[in-house]
Amino acid sequence: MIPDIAIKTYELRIQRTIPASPAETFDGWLDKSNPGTPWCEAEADEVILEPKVGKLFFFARSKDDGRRFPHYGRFTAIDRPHRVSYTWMSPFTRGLESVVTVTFQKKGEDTLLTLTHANLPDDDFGHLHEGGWKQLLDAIAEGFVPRHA
Amino acid sequence: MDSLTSILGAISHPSRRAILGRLARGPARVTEIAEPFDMSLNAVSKHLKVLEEAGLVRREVQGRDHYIELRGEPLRAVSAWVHGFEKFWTQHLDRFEAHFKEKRKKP
Repeated sequence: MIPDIAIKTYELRIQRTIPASPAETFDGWLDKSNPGTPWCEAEADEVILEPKVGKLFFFARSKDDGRRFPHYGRFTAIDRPHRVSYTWMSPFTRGLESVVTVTFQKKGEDTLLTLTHANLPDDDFGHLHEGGWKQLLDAIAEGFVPRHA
Repeated sequence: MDSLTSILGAISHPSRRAILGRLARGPARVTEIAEPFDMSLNAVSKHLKVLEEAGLVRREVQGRDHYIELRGEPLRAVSAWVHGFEKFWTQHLDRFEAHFKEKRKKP
């Protein structure tokens, strides 16, 4: 029997207006020399990026304390200049194959970039995303000056 | 039980969150903590024990008084976890946007 390992998930959505055309923004997102992309070579180690449907990306990030965080994914949709979608696995997804979708909509001379990150694990933490929790945690964590840290 | 689970268990109770809110203003005696709540000293002590076990508060005995002090580090860990992905993408998009702003400025 398969054990019940269903994990609650959540989705986050962030929007930005980028001062460039959708095609430029789209190309920038899939360019590992472009600052701010997840696979930007200047910000990560060992970058592998093959942005084609069914192909993969890999990069690792290392913290100052020596911890290393590898990230893997598979491109599932590439529709220039409208949309790109890929799976995303890292130590933080707890073995779940999360899904990132980025859309690029023309907005005058600019581009409205919408990033959704879905299927993120929310098992022990689901209730933290409900109203008030974040604020409470922030208020307490930020208001506190550690004496024994 | 891992530490995140015990921290989340500890802060899942509204009275314990209220106690943490009170302690965020500074250390207090058990009686002072109990004062604003409609709870017996015994009930407050039980809540404090859960918070203590989760590493969220520290007890210091001075003579006959027990002073309870907030330890914020474990909460910071939870907060960072909750915000992790949002922070990750927000920081990346900041740099991505800044790059295109710079590019547009150039003739």
